[in-house]
Amino acid sequence: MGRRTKDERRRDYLEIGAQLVAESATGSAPDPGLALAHVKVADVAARAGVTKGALYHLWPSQEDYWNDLLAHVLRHDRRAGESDLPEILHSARTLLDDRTDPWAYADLVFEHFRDDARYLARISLHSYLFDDDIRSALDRDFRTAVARFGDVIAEALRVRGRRLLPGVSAEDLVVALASLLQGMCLEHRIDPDRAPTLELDGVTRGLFSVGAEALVLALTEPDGDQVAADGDRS
Amino acid sequence: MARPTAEERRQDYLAIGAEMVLEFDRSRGATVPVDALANIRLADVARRAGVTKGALYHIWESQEEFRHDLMIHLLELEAQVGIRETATLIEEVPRDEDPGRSMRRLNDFAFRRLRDDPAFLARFSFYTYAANPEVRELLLHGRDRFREYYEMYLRRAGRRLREPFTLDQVIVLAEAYLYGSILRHRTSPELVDRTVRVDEEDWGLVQLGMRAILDGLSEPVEDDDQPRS
Repeated sequence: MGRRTKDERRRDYLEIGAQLVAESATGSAPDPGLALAHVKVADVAARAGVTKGALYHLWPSQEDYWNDLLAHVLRHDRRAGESDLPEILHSARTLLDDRTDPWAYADLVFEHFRDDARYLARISLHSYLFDDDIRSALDRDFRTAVARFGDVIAEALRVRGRRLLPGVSAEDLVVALASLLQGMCLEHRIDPDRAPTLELDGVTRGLFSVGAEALVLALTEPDGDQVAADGDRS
Repeated sequence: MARPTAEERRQDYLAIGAEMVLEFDRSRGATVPVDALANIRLADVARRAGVTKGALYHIWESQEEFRHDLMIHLLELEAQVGIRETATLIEEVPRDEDPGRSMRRLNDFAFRRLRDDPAFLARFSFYTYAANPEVRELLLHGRDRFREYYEMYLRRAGRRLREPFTLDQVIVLAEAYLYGSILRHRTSPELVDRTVRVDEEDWGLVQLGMRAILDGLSEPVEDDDQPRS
């Protein structure tokens, strides 16, 4: 293997930093501060097996490294973003047949995110919203997710014979569900017992899907036209 | 004036630290002060307090120990956010007001009050450290800040919880939805701050969702005798 270029090394060191940020979410940091602020040039050097000098050669200061690390986490760590929700839902569909309680899907999505350390680490990026690049990157990611997920929701409603209330958009419903999802992940983070599973009419349900159902029912109504059309067909 | 006790001095220094953390945004154009926590130095606190560094190192052996106490102090501050105002609002609800309307007013207040409060927003950076039992305990502080008000709504709306739900679960869901909405609002305000027209009334999306959760987990008390509305 040839000697790595300066750009490659730069990327390597940023990738190590991103790992350290994600790891700090699972550790119990004795020195509270911010995940990102914990990532010291010295630690990155130690993990990379190089001298601190090798990093200071690329970044004149700790702050310069942090700046690039933040941009790196945002740009490259899309896995923790929510744009891929439809794919997760899609793979969930292949695990469950169509007659499965639709709320089981909702609980699957919740279970996916609640255990994702990177998703949590991403919430700590909210501390940097004063930086316009960061705010707009998070905003863009969320808008992409909302737009893509809107189609999934519209299809799910159609299948269930419901439609959005007049004056409510599919986006509104997705935003409400996404807010609940994020909040429930935080609750689970404090204490898994705060997001328990319940027996509901003989079906095991997570508290997340109970809330999601309440939101869906409140923002939609039975689709009279479709019920009538289905009646004609039978 | 008597000489302040060691504990009083400790509290003074923490208050100064908190002030510096919460001011951090203003000095750098930020809205949330978390970086600040990692960057507040005992030396700066000492300077602002007009004492020597030694006076602070007498209380905290290290920078890390101070930061630890400062974080706890911030979370305790946060737990108080909105509590007094909420209590006042609950007391002032007119007896004959439609319970749905009272709830909307209170939800609206909670959302607007919390979403711009730096002490509240600082909370979100602490979830990263929830594996630390002490931090976890502190994040549970303030969880009951709206309990009384959910109870009041159910009572006045003539509703009771459906089996098998508990009020704690309602509180978790409502809190999750409120906090989640606040997080979303910070990155994408236009998506969250939406007015939707339902039942010929304008609702904020957040207020509507809060009602949905309360009503979804509850049912009218006298559903046999009374015609359903």
